Formats: sequence, C-alpha cells, structure tokens
Amino acid sequence: MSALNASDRIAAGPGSRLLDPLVLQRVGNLELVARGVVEGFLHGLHRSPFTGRSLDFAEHRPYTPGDDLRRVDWALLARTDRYFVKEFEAETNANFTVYLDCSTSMKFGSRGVTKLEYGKFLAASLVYLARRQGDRIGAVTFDDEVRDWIPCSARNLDLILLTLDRTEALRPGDLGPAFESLVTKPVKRGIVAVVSDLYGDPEVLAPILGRLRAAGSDIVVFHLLDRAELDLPWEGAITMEDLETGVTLPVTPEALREEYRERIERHVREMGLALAGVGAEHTLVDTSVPLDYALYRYLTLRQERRRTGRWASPS
Amino acid sequence: MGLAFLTPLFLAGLAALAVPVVIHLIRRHRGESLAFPSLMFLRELPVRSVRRRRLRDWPLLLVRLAALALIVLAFARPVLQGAEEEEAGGEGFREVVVVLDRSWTMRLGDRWERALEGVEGVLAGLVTPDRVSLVLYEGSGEVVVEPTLDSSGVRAVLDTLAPGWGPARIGAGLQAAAGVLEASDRERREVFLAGDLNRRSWEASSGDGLPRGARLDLLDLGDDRAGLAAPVDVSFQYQIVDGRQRAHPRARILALGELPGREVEVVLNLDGREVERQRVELAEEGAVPVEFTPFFVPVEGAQGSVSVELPGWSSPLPPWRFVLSPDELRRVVLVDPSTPGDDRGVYLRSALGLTGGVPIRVERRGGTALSVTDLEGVHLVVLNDVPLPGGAPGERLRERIEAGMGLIVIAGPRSDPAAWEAGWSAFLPGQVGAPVETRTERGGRLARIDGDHPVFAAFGGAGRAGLGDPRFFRYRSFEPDTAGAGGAVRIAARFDDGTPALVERRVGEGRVLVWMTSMDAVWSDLPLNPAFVPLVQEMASHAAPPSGLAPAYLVGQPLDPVFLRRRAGILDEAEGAPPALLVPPDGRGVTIPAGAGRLPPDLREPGHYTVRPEAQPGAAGWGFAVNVDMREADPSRMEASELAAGAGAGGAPATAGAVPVDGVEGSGARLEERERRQSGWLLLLLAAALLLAAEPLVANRFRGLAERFADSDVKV
Repeated sequence: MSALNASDRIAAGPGSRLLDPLVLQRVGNLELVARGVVEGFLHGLHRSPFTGRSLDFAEHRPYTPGDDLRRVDWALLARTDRYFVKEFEAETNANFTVYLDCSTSMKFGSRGVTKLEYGKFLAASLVYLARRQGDRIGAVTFDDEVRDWIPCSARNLDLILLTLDRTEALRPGDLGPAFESLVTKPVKRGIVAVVSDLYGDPEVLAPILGRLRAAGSDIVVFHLLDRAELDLPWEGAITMEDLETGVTLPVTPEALREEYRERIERHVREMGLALAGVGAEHTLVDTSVPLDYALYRYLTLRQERRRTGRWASPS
Repeated sequence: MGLAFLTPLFLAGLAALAVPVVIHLIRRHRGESLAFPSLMFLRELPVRSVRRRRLRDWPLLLVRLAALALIVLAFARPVLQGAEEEEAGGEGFREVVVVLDRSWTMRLGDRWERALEGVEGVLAGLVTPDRVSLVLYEGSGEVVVEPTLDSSGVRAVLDTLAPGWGPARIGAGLQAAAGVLEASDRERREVFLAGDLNRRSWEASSGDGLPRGARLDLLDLGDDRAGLAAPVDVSFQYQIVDGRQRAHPRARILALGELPGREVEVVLNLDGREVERQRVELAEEGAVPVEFTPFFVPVEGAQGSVSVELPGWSSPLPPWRFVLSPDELRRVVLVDPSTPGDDRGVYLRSALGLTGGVPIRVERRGGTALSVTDLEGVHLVVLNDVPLPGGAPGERLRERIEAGMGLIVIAGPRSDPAAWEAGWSAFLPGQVGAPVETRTERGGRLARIDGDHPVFAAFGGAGRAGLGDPRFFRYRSFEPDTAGAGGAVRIAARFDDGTPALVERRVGEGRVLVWMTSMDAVWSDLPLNPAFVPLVQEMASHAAPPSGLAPAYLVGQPLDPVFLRRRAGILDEAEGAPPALLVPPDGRGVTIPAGAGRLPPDLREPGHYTVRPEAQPGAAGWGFAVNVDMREADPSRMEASELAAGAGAGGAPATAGAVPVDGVEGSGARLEERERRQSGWLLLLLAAALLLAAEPLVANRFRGLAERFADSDVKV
C-alpha cells in the first residue's frame, strides 16, 4: 500500500458524485463542467467558511439619497452625528492564472480519464471559481514551451474555457524550459495555479517557480498523477512505451513494483519539499478522485493566505 | 515388457509439444505494449530477465501438452511387446541372427544405409526374451555379436561399422548364422540377411545350409541402379627395347547402373603424377578398353594407378593401383630340337619371343639336352616336343618345380612319353599315351574349354570362339591321374572327342602344363590361327611362377608369408632370420615372423603395400598393389526364392514359402498384427479426448484464481 494513499488522498465528500471525473467526462462542454463542479462543490459545503469575507472595507463616503440604508455606518453616526456609508472594495484586483501542462505525458489515463482531461476540468473549474469570486482570470498552456497565453482579465472566461477545451497533448514536454518561459511572461501579481504531472527534477523546477513567487505571486501546484502511475498495477511481461520520448522498455511490473513505488513516492515528496522551500503550495492530485478535493485545497489555500495576511506577498 | 511403434515416424510430432511452450515464452517475452507517461523511474531499475520466462498456469499447460502427446502417440500406433510372450510361457521366443553383407558393393548408392535401416527394423521388432546376434560377411563370415537379449549391443556395433573392401560370400555368412542357430535352444530360429544378393557372391560360396525349420528373411539391396564406373583390371604388355623394359598399359573400364553411355575421363598416374588422361564413352554392356601410351619402366620401379573421373560423380572405389618393377623379367628356357633343316619350333619360339602380359626373356637350348645349371634362376621351362629330362637334370627340374618353377610339356611326335622316367609320374597330371588320329579328315577341334581356367580366361566372349577354329589332326591320348597325390589335376580344354587337350597339375609351388599335341604345323594348323600367339603367352604366363609384379592382388586374397619374406630379401632358410614387416596403406605394419606358416589374410583394404625387413626401417623393401575384386560388380543377381532354396540344409529350402523379399516386412507384419489386437491407439485417443474435455475446467479454475489474486492486489 502506498504511503500516498494514506496521507495525501482525501476521500470524496458528499455530492462528489457530481464531481466524479468519469461523470464530467461525459458532459462534453467545459463550461458546463466548470459550472457544475463549482456549483456542486459550493453547494456541498454545508457551512462555507468564506461567507462575508469576500469583500474588504475600503472607505467611508457621505450618505447621499438613494444609498442603501443598510450600508450606513451607524457607529460612526453615533460618534460623529453624520451619515456615512461604508464602501467595500471588491476583490477584482486579484489575478488568477492557471498553467496547464499539455505535454504528451498528460495523455495517460488508466481509468477512462486522462490526466490532460482531468487537468482541463480542474483548470476550468478553478478559473470559474476564481471568476465567481470576482478575480481576474488568465490561462497558459505549455509543453516544452508556452502554447497558449491568455492574460488575466475579468472577461476572459469564455476564451479560457474555449482554449482549454481545444488543448491537446501533441508534443513532449520539458518543464524546465517551459517554466523558464512562463516566469518571463509579464504576469500580474496574483495567484498562479500550476496543473502538471511534474516529470522533472525538483531541484530544477522549484527554483524557477520560486522566482515567480519572489515576483509576488502565490503559487499552488497541482501535481496530477494517475493511480496507475502510483501503483504500477500490471502483471506479467509488458513493454512500456514512454509517451514523452517513445522509448520502449520490457518490464515485469510485479518484479519492479515496490522499488518503483518507493521512487515515485520519493519524487513526489522531494517535489513537495522543494516547492515548499520556495514558498509554493504543492498538492498531489490523484486523477481518480473527484475534483472537489483540488478545489477545496485551492480555497483553503486562498483563505489561509488571506487570514494570515500573506496573500500575494512573498513568504 | 517393451514398447514398440508401428509408425514410429509419427513420434517426430512430439516436437510439436515444444510449440505452445515456445509461443508462450515468445509472447511473454514480447509482452503487451503499454504507453506510460514516463519511464524515468523504471529505467533506473535493474531488469529481472529470469522471471520474465517463468511459466504460469502450469497445470493448464501440462493438460494441453499431455493431450497433444497422447494424440501423437496414438498416431505412432504403439505396441506393447512381451506380455503375450510371457503369457505363452516363452515358447514363442526367437533366436534371430542378423546377417549383414559388408562387402565393398555395399558402398554403392545408399545400400549400406538401407541395410542398417532394415536391421534397425528387425531390432525394433524384437521382444524382450528374443535373442539376437550379428554376423558380418565378406570373404568369410564372422559372428561379431554373440546371441544376446540386449539389442543395444548390436546397435552399438552397427554404429561403428562401415562397409569393407572385400568380396561377398553369402554362404560364409549363412554358415556362421547356421552355427549360431544350431547352438540355440529356441524353437523359432530366424535369419535376417541384408545384402545385395549378387549371384557371384553366392556361386563363390560354400558351406552348410541353415538348419531345417529356420526362417530366412531377405533384404535385397542390389535392386537399385547405383552408378559405378571403375577399372576392372589394368594389364601391361611388355617389350624389351635396348635392354630396357617398355610397358604398354591397358585398362578395362566397367560401368554399372546409371552411368553406361556417359563420357568419362580415365587418368593414368605414375608415382603421384598424372601421366595421361583419356576421354572414353562407357559401354552399355561389358567393359570398355582403354590403351595408354607405352612408357619405359623406371629403373627404380614405379607405383601407379588408373582412376575414372566424371564431373558431379564421386567414385565409391579407390583408383586401381599397380606396381612396376624392371627386375621382374622372367627367364624362360625353351628346349627346342629344331634344326636349320627342320625348324618346327619356329612358331613356338616366335610366339614366346613376342612377350605379352609378363616380361619374358627366352633362352633357347638346342637339342634335347638340359643341364642342371640351365635351371638356375629360371622361372619356366618349355619342352617343345622333346622327352622329359632324366637323371640329375630331371631331378633338379622336379625340385625347381616344387619350389615354384613352371613346366610346359608339348607332347608332340618326338616327345616319346614312353621313355619318361617314373619319377615324373607324380609331377604329371596323368598318363600321356600314344598319338591318336582324328576320325574325320577335317580334323578335331578344341571343345569344352574351361572358361574359368586362367589360360582361357582371357579368351572371353567372342574371342573364345577363335579357339575352335584350329584343326587338330593328331594328338596324344591321355589318362588323367585322378588318384594322384600331392596336387590337383585340372583339365583346361578337351578336343571334340573328349580327349584332354590341355591338362594342368599343381606340384608344390609350381605348375605343370601338358599340351597333348604339337605346336607346329604338322599335327595341327594351330600356329596358323590368330589364337596361337595369345594361347602360348597365356600358357607361359600361367605356368611361370607368380612374378613380383603381382598386378592382380585382390582384397581378401591370402598371402604367402614365405614368398613375401623372400621378396623382401629375407630367406627363411637362414639361421635366425629376422622378421619382416608388412606395411599396409594405413601405415600400421604387421610383423611376419620367421618360420611361420601361412598368415591369415591381411589384405583388408586396397592400396600399395610394402614388405621390408623389420629391423631396417629405411629399406625400400618390395612393394605390391592390392585392388578391389571387381568380379563382385557382376550385376546378375539371385532371386530370393533361389537363394532360400540353396540356403536350406541339405538342399531343402529353409521354411519354404516363407521368404519375404523384404525382411522388414516380415517383422513388421507380426508387429502390425499385434498392434491391431491391442488397439492402444484407441485408448490413447480416448485419453486425449478426456483431457481436452477437462481442459476448460482446468483453465477456468486456475484463471479464476489468478484474477482473484490480481483484484486483491489492486484494492490494497
């Protein structure tokens, strides 16, 4: 049994049926998927920990006829005997950008849903959720270099969803150069969600993302892995073909399973440590579990950052 | 109890058992192809190649293989042997003698392989209590494997055997087999003979037949058309030119099987060098003569050979070899009473002077006198119409005859047999009488010529007819000495009234030939006929002692050790004579001890042999050639029934009517009958069907287990 199963995976909560990747795969329309996921996810939260915290106080202004009396600051009236109304600053200045890995390794899926499809669902859901939160949203797809880049904007939801929908894994990926080109893009400070299977050297990738973090962005990395990538469940002699390089390798999985598990777990662990070292949030996502877990992690991160005041500031 | 198979070739199908295993391993090795995101971690791991070949589902595999094996065994039609014989209390046990022809003719085509195959068929048909023995025959028969219950011993010997170079004597093989059968207590006694059933190999045989009641199975291997083209013999005509010996070689090339009509090249080699090559067309029947250019025999002698070459065909026989020695001139003393006024001896003198197959130097002695000194170093004395010498010369002449010298007596009108000393009676083939006039004016003629006699062997075919042309008007009567001791009398030819014309008697090492008429044109017109010269030369060649030329030693021919030692320059008479060494072609010398009697024949292979003093390795010694007896190539064959009739004891056929031409069929028929009774193939097929019916159950059971294990592994 993998250690990852026990510590990092979260069982699906109530309503997860609607967030099941296999169900979502049948929907076909990415916008519907994203809406369904987010609405279902939010509906499933019995008591949202985020209620009333979506707006920040900005300033007082004198009351003018027609203002909503509910917004009158009665305490200030008592102290000053003047009518002021509270102005709240909406969070529209928060920028959310999702980076989606579309290298050929993302084509893999052992149970009907590939990692790329899962990544699309997750990215769409995140941007939908962010937009619902009032954030400006952007998206980037990449393999060994940036393929599509949609800057942050409040009006880009449809474009992002369309772009994500059309994204295909056509080329092998090289995360190092891809991340290098990502951090050089003029991205506004905000939240960056990276969706990738992260087949690369943690010691190389983490510093690059660290530079993004240093530039003022908060980074959450969704490390997508299929369950078969974690467990290597096959039996008998098989020939494995590397989706990235095309290299084939005859193996006997049962003979290699334990050692393979140790190495993939070590890789995930080292990736998490390396990313934490640069202030990025690392989350392993098993593509067989519903999407709400990833969304939950995102909102949790967002809330924690807001609560601790470290939001959008380097740690 | 043993197991045999009626159609054992089907057992090759057992190799198919390896097919599923091989396919299984190949498929496992290749495995199914699976796309995987990245092999970066797997490539770091060591590959377990051993486990890759491990088989799963052993029970299922075994069930399938067992079913296949049973089907194959059923097709091979197994026969359980021994059970019925044991029930019968052993009465049916057999004494089987395998008689195998090992003569050189078995080298032709695939005869030897077919013979071994036939013998293997017999061995496979044996049941455990049967006894088997192996007899090989060439010139003689030999029991090489004594009766045994273990046929593997016979197989082991067969594996080491190859055809020899000697002639075949079927009778010798059957005689050896008869000895085995007569010593056996088994009621069923069988002989399996595999050979080419050459008629000559039977005619030259002698010996007792098989015991009454014995069964003889024959495998006739001579019914093929195996090709052969080889010299039958190589002869030389000699001339003395300027004191040197000039040889005129002739060869006769015989072709058999598919080769007659083809064009071949006949090559003459001398001392390892090719001297001459002639292209000839092989005759459809008989041998085709080839004459080579005459050459002077080197002073030191020469070894040579004649071979036949045909592109794309490899001769199973070695070249015909010969040895030439210039010191082998044979001295002939011709006692000729002719006078200038009455030179009746001119014909005989001229005929001898022409020389022929042997180099002869004729020394004439006039008158009737013959001194003792005239006989020293002489090989042949020809008394042309003179009385036999008496006194000391006569005694010395008789001694020399016993020692090997030849004597030809021309009993003409002046020979006066009545005056011959009594001491000659033991040396003459009979009593030579008075002259007899023929009853017709046309004269008598030669008739009833013994074609096998060496003198007339050269007059083969149409040439023998020429011997009937001369007319004989007067000749002497003759009473053969049938009771004569000390030598065999042989009448080589008779006149048409039955009176012997040429009679031979062997005395000691020598020969005496008596010609009952004159060799002039008075009593006959023989000298005026073409047959005269060759007849005289053949008589001289035959009567003279065997020369060192020895062009016709044959494989299997017995050797005279005294003669060999003498030729090597070692006299047995000498005190403490050193041993001689006979060196055959393979170089492994055989010692010929002094004073020994006749050695067993040791001419087992063709080639050049040498005899020299054993203590003198550097001595040149005396060389002679040994060749294969080409008379074995006679294509006339015996019928199986004829041989079976002749093989029976006392002329009675051995199990008349029970002589299958193919002996394997005889054994096979019994095996087939037994197999039909047992029907083992049916049981095997039923067992295979049961296994195949159970195969799905086994498959489901073990696959179900495998899947359950696989599921539990994923859930963990």
